[in-house]
Amino acid sequence: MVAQGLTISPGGARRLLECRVGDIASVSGVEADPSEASLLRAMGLRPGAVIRVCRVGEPSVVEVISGHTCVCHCRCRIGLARPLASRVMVKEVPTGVEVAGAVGAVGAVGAVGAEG
Amino acid sequence: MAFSKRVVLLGNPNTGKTTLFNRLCGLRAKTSNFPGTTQEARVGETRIGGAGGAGGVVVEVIDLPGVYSLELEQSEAAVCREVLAGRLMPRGERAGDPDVACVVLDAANLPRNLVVAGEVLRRRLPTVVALNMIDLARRDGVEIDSGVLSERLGCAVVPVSARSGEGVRSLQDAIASARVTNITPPGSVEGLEAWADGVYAACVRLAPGAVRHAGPGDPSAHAGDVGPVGGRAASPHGLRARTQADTTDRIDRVTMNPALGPVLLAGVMAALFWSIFSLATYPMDWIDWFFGAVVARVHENLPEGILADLLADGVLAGVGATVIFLPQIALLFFLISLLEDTGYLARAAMMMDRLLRPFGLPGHAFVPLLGSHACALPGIMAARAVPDRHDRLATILVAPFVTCSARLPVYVLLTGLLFRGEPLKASVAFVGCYALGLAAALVSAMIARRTILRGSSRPMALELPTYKLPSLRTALATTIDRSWVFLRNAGTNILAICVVLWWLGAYPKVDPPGEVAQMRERAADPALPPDEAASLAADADHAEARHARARSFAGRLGHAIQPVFAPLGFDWQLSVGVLTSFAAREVFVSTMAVVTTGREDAEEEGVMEMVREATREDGSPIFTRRVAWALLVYYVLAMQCLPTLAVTAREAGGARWAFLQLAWMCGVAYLAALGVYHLVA
Repeated sequence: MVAQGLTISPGGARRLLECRVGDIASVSGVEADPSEASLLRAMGLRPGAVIRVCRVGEPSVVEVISGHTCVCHCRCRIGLARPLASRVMVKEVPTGVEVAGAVGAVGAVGAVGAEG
Repeated sequence: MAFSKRVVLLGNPNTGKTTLFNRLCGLRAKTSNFPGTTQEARVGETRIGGAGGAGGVVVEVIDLPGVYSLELEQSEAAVCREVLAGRLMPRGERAGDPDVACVVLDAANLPRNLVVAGEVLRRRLPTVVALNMIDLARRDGVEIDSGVLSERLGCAVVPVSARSGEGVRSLQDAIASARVTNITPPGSVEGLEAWADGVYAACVRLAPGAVRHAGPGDPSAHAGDVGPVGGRAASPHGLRARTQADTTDRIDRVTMNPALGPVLLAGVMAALFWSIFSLATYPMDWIDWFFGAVVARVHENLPEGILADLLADGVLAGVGATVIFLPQIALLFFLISLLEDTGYLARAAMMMDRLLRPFGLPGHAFVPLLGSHACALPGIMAARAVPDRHDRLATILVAPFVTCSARLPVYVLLTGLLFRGEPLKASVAFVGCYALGLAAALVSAMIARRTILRGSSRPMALELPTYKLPSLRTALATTIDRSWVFLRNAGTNILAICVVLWWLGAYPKVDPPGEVAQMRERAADPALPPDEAASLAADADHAEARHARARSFAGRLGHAIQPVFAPLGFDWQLSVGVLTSFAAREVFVSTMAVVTTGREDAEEEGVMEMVREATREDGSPIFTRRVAWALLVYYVLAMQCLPTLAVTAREAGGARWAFLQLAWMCGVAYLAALGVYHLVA
């Protein structure tokens, strides 16, 4: 099962600002200065973290779904000013990692990137 | 009081740390700042051990600033590091190592929260973990095995709900017997994150059917209750969690909508201001009445002389002038705390970030600027929440431009004078004053960020907490705390300044002029009808007061400084008003009342009118249209509040920032007033 509406191209990294609302992606890095990058990492946006894009633009909002492990209940939502959102790089969620809410319908779970 | 133990509370922001602090310490706590920083902590006391009964001991509890990691460059993290190392304590507290570190974790966001726990454990302090919001985690189908967690961390782990009070007694007992852990979490960021993931995987128990997602780097393939990896239907718990996220999404779609969001924000702000400027007026009137009555009693019961004058007109008038703003300050903090607790304020700050950033201010500056509408003192203190130093300095420097409530009596006097009998135009002018102040703040910030505080504001990253019903207890604790800080800071400053101003205005004592003696003689004539005699005696009193004020030190200063204000059309009487209102702007109307009419009570019916019609010594009106406009603009923009300067110096970390603020605001005000004076002509 593949998440609907995913705009992350297989294997490629793109900016958070280029995602669409509802996309599930994995953080690949933050192109900010070390102090900003450390703060974002400590807030949960660490490499490999799976995020759900809740809002794109000014500001952008992401929900951190997991670090490396997670339960489908997460309450960690981070607002990012546009300049910061443009520095957050995301990529396709690695094969085998399944993510709650990856499909539009409530109650379904998908293994994102299974075809990647 | 010397405590047997000192406990520090620390953890991520939004973990309910402050709610837990309030639960442990009640409403009797104080806020102290850390020397040499703009960070502050709440300090309280709680009883530990004795199974929650009276048999335990009272210990000191310090609520440290929330941090995502102790190793960040932020000042919050630096303060926590120094406190844990025993090198820093809030002002007034004895130095030394904390005896117990109580790490507060959000049970529903454990992987991230455990990183801070690991950083604390590495410091080898007796540690206790409070696993907060355990009720919410349970509701969402997440069971944390606190026994396994305690084993993995090597310290006591107590599931608590700070909101309901569940587990708080157990936590107090655990603090009493806290011990140093025997485990050493990794030191590197990557190692610590992997360790946190491992600890989490070991202790989490999902309700049957709930979903866990294993990533490629998952260090522990914990089976147990966890279902197989692969697509399947979500559990009822998963559904609930998903529904909650959907609800948050739906509310966010309104609160952060580009069109609806600003409208909602404007509505919330309008309601806030309405509360401050309407509801708060009742207690303000009571305070005014109370101080008026006390002053009258002092004059009645004490013999005339320096003691009665000092007590009534210096001390009590000074205290009254401060305390009268307390209802507005308290209400403002109460409402802001409620809004913050709902989760809305974080969204509002994110929305404002877009509007403020072009001026070099971050969204964090929103709350300080909002608070400054009541009074710049709490506004500047609220700037402590602005993380970047340059952003914070810019916020502090420009916050006093925003119209505070002390300017309102002057606005009432002057807009009423400019638009007599035209309330609509007067209202528009009133709103224009607010807009001018805000515009001056934003433009000044922009100039500061291109000159002395070069750079753009730090782009904002803010955790957006889940929407929830606000806690009255937390709001009440914040209100009491902030009100006390306001009274202590402003009360002492304003009191001292008012005593000095009273002295300048009351001394040297001069003999009444001959005409006053003649008026009194005529008033004493038994042939005169009693009404006329009383009126004549009152006129004599006013004339004497006016004469005394003109020859007082303040009057002489007014004469001396008048050439500076002459280009703005101000005469010596207005110059005295401007000069005395450096203590506090609201003093202007009462000073003008004394200078021009001899009456002090500006609230008295007709006195405002008399001030408006006051004349110069040559008989021409003081408040011509040009002068009124120039004065209005001057009062909107000028820095005329010594307590604010004192707080600026303290919060910005040096008197030079206060001098800069004074020079910049007064310079801008003078030039703008000069421009308006000539433009109106």
